[in-house]
Amino acid sequence: MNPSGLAFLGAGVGAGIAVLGAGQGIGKLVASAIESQARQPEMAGGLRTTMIIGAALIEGIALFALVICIILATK
Amino acid sequence: MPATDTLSSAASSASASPAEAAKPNVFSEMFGGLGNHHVVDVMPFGEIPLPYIFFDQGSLHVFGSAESLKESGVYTTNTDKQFDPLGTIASSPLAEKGSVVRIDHKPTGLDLSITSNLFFFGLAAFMMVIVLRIAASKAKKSLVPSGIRNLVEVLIVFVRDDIVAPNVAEPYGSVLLPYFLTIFFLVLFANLTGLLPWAHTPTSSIEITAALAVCTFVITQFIGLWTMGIKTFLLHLTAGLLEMEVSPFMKGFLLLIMVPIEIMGLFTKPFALAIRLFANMTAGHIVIFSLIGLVFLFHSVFVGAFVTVPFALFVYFLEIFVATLQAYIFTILSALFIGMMAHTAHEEHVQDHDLPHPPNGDHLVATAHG
Repeated sequence: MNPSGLAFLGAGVGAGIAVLGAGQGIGKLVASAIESQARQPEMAGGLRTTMIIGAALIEGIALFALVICIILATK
Repeated sequence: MPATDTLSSAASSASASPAEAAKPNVFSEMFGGLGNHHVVDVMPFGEIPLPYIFFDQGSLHVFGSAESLKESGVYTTNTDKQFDPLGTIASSPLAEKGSVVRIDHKPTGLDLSITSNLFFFGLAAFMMVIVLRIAASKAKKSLVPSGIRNLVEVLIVFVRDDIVAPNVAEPYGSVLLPYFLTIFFLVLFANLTGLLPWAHTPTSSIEITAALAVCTFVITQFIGLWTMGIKTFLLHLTAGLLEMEVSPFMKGFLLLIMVPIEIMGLFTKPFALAIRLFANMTAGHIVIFSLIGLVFLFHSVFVGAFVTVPFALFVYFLEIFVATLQAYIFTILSALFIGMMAHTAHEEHVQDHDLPHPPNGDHLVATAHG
C-alpha cells in the first residue's frame, strides 16, 4: 500500500465518521425541536429558525471534515 | 499517469486498461472540473477561452487565450504539479494543473485573469440586476404586483421580516437592510447559476465565498467599533473578566486564556461562513460526479440507467433546495453576527441615556416601509 492509497483510505473513513457525528447531531436537534413544537405549537416559528441555524452549524462542522477529506482524496 | 483532457477520453482509457490504475483517474479528472479554469467548456461545441490578465512588473499583460499566452514568450501554462516552485495562480487545491508560470521562473505578479468562476459570478450578478430591475419597473407602473414582482417581493419581505428584523436591533436593521438583501440575492443567484448547463458554481470557489464573508466581517467590526467606541470594543474582548470578583492572579491567568480565544472568535465566525457556503456548494457536485463515476467503475450501462440517472436527478433537485437554503443560512448568520454587535452596543446605549427599549422585531416591520 502506497502513501496515496492511505490518503484515499483516510478520506473515506474520515468522511464516514464525520457523517456519523453530524447525523447523530442533526437527529437529536430535530427530535428535540419537533418535541418542543408538539408541546408548544405557538412557538413553532421561532423554534424552526433556531433549529435551522443549529442544523447549519452542525452541517458546517461536518463540511469542515468533508473539505479535509476532499484535500486528502485529491492528493 | 498522462493527464487526459475530457471525460470521454478518460473513460476510453479506463475501458482500454481495466486495471486499478485507471479508476482514480476518472474521479480526479472529474473533480478537476470543479476547479477554476481559464476556459468555459461548452462540451460538444468546444471551449470558449477567457482572457488572461497579469499586472506584472509595472505593466499590464492581456492575452485572449492560452495559445496567445504561450506565444508571448513570457508565460507558459503549467501541466505538471511539481513544476511550480515559485509563482502560481493556483490558490485552490482543486486547480493546480494549468496554472500560469513565467518562463524565467520569476513570480507571476498580480493575477487579474477572468477565470470561469469569476465569469459566472459576474453573470449571476448581471442576471440579479436584470431580474430585480424588471421587478422594480413593474412596481413603478402599478401598485398591483404581477409576474416576477410577486416572487421578488415575497423574498424581499421574507428577508426583511424573518431574517433582519428579529436579529438586528432597530436603527441598524433598516440601515443595513440593503446589504442583507444584496448578499441574499447575490448568493442565491450565484448558487442557482451553478445548476445551469455548462456553468460553474461561483460559490463553490473558496475565494468568492471568502470575499463575501470578509464583507460581513468588515461590517460586523465596523458596527461594533462605531456603536461601542474603541474602549468598550476592547473591553468586549476580555469577556467581562475585568469586572469579576476574582483574585488578581486568577484574573491575569484567565485573561491570558480568554483574550486570545475572543480574538480568534472574531475570525472563526466569518471563516466558518465562507467554508460552509463553499463546502455545501461543492459537496452536491461531488456527489453527482461520484454517481456518474459509478458507471466507469462498474463498466455497465444498467448501473447508469438505474442507479446514476435517478440518484443524480434526485441530488440535482436537492441542490436546488440547498442553493436556496444556503442563501438563507448565509444571510441569517450574517444578520446574527452583525446583530450581536449592534445589540451589545444597543443595550449599553440604553443604559447610558435611559431610552425606552423598542421591541426588536415589530418596530422594524412598522417603520421599514416609511
